[in-house]
Order: sequence, then C-alpha cells, then structure tokens
Amino acid sequence: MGEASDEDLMARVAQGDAAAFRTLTERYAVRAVALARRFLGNSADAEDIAQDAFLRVWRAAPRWQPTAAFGTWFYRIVVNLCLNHRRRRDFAPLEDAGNIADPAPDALARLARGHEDRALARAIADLPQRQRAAVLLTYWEGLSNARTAEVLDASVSGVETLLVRARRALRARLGPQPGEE
Amino acid sequence: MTHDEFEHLLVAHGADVSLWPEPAQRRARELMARDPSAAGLLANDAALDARFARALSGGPVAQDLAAGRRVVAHLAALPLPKQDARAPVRWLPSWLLALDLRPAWPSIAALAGMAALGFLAGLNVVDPGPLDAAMGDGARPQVIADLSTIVFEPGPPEESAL
Repeated sequence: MGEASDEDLMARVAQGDAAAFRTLTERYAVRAVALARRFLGNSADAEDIAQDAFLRVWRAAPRWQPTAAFGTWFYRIVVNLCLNHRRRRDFAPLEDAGNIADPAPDALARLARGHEDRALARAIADLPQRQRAAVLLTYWEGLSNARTAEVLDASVSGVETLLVRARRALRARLGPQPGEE
Repeated sequence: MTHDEFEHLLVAHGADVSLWPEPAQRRARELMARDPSAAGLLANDAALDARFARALSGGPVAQDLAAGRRVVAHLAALPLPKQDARAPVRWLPSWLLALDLRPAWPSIAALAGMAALGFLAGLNVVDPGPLDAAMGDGARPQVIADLSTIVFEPGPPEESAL
C-alpha cells in the first residue's frame, strides 16, 4: 500500500486523528525548521515557528479545503509566521558554525567557497522580508514562480518583481560574481 | 526591450536566453547587441544562479534534522488543542483560513493612517460655521473646497507682496 497523500492525511486530521497529524509533522518538520532557520537566521526561533505552524494546522484542519496543495498552504503558514516574527535572537546562520582546519589539498578552495556561501547567506538575511521569502522559496525550496506567488499571496509578476529587486540588492552587495568575465 | 523587461525575463526564464520564448529571445539579443551592460547583466545573473545553486542546495543540514526531530517529539508529547469545529464555508477560498497568519503590521498601519486622515478631514474640511448661523437658516456646514490646505501649509507671503 502506498504512502497516504498529504490531502488524505489532512482529511483524517480534520476528524481529530492524532496519528495522521503526527505523520504530517514527521513529513514536514525538517522542511519547516529549515525554511524558518534560513529566514530568521537561528534554529531556536525556527523550532518555535515550526511548532506553532503545526498547531495552527491542527486547529484549522476541520475548516481546510483542498483547493491548493497542502504543502503550499503549509509554506504560507510558515512564511507568514516568519514575517510576523519579531527576531529575538541574533542572526547566526549555521554556516557560521566554524571553519575546522582541513589538511586536504583543496582545503583552501573549500574555505574560500565556504566564505562566499556565508556572505551570500548574510546578504539574503539582510534583504527586506518579502524579497527574502521569495528568494528562499524560489532558489532554496525550488518552487516555481507561480507556486511562490501562491505561498506569498501575490501575483506571478509581483513575485518576479520581488526577485528582480532581490537580485539587484544581492549583486550590489556581493559585487561581481565569481566566474564572471 | 528595456533593461527592466530584460531583468524580469531573466527572473522568469533563467539566464539561458536560448530557452526564452522566441520573440523575447530575439529582442533580448538586440538589446545585448546595442547595450553591453545587458550582456554583463546576463553573465552576472548566470554566476549568481550558480552561486545560489551551490549555497542553497543540498537540503536540510544536520542541525535542521535534529531540530525537526525535536519538534515532532514535542508535538507528540503536547496535549493537542481543541480544533476549530466551525463548519467549512465552501464558497470562501481556503486562504482565508490563514487570515490571522497574515502580517499584522501593514493592516494596522493602514487603519491608523485612515483614522488619522479621517481626524484631519474632520478638523479641516467641514467647518460648522458660527453658532448663530447654525441656529438660523444657514444650518448647513460650510465645506472648504481647497483640500490642499490639509496637507500643505501655505508658504509665507513673498517679500514683494508685503
């Protein structure tokens, strides 16, 4: 027997089925925490957001209509909670966890790459909130512009405008990209 | 094609111009031929995409996996709250369910702005006139036609006018 779809699970959650709810939380917890951490810049706040998002799913389940994919709705809840969240802790991306001395021959190259990745993470963290959400949903979660628009409750051209502005800001902040002629 | 349109197409279709719709492709090539900064933007965008792909790919890291497990365990241990048992309203889009999740501050700012504007309008637009006029046949309040006085203070008179 195949895995139950998100929508089947939601139908059961709507009936108060705690086991179905647990399956949904197992399916989406890591993604929720990861998205919130990228958005807010720290893991502790991200855990609070993920937990709050799931509790909202549980409470709203009997009223939920499967007019859009559950994942889209759930992303919207997580993103909106992040947008409303007052950052309580400093931004500390995981990538700052430390550069351990590495004796491998390509260690320097990897160190440089790690430095570039951290600079990008910081630049994304400094974007205005909706631009940051659009960048993370599109380039990290890999959502299409149309699905990002659904999550952000915006038009596709609105999302494109957010991405254009975000990319301009990132280009200005990061300077010429590596590998660019 | 303008630079702005070019940037939007880059976001919509990616940095490989050969994958763009035919008319846009042709106009983009024309733009790049006459404007070298557009060609530079294309190269920069491709490099930024590569940087995104490297830095933002790979999915969750160990810390996210551990945090996810903690969230699942915590939710399993919590007494789940009462569900919202009101019947679903089928003609309403389901996004309304998330209404309380929308960012609150823009709505609050808009409401406060409207309240302030209403207050100013009340103070400035409608002049109830002198009390004796209101008691007589001129009971209708006077309306000040020039709304600009609400926003713009008249400047001081020109020196030559004094």
